[in-house]
Amino acid sequence: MPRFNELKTLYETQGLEIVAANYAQNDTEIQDFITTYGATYGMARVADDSGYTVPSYSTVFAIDRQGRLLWSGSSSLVTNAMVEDWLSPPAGKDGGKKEEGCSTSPAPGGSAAAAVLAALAVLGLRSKRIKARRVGALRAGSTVVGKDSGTPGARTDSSQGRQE
Amino acid sequence: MRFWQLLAVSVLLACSTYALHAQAVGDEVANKVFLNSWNTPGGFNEVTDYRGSVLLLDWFGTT
Repeated sequence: MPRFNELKTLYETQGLEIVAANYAQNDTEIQDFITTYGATYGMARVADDSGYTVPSYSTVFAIDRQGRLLWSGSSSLVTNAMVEDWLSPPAGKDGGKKEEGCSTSPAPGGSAAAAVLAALAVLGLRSKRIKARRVGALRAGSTVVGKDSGTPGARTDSSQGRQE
Repeated sequence: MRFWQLLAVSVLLACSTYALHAQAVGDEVANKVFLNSWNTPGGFNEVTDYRGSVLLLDWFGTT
């Protein structure tokens, strides 16, 4: 990918390394990919992607100098500013962990929580509709009951019945 | 109604499974040993060899 070539050229001297990992293709196919796209960044064939959540290709995991996750997401979302932020010296006292807000990715669990909330919202709307239908049915039912209870509506209904 | 119940259960299961396997920012990433590599620095054979550098590990497929 030309984008990774560009990032490598721009930031290699500041300590950026790029490795594209693949477990689905054989060595020949990976070599062909390197030749076709002129990849100058690292390529590696690995056994599998266990330990990494890879929803789709290509997914990037930005890893800090201590081997900790900084960010993960689609490679198309990686900007120069993000890379510069990752390469900047750590601000905290713990020797590397970025201040909250510097990392550009929310915790993956946040997406799951959002999905759960969305599901609950759908269920809530559904139950409201059901309640509304029940209330409507009860009201309709009271009119029917009213036929025998002497309400004005019942009188109308019964009078219509007589006319028929 | 049954459809919505099944959908909700499926979504919840999927989310919980995803959350269990997802990495959080700040967590140490899993090491991966390279079975073969190209354009990598000499002697770098696994992810942990990149300690000291900021590494962009890209999972890609050629198809």
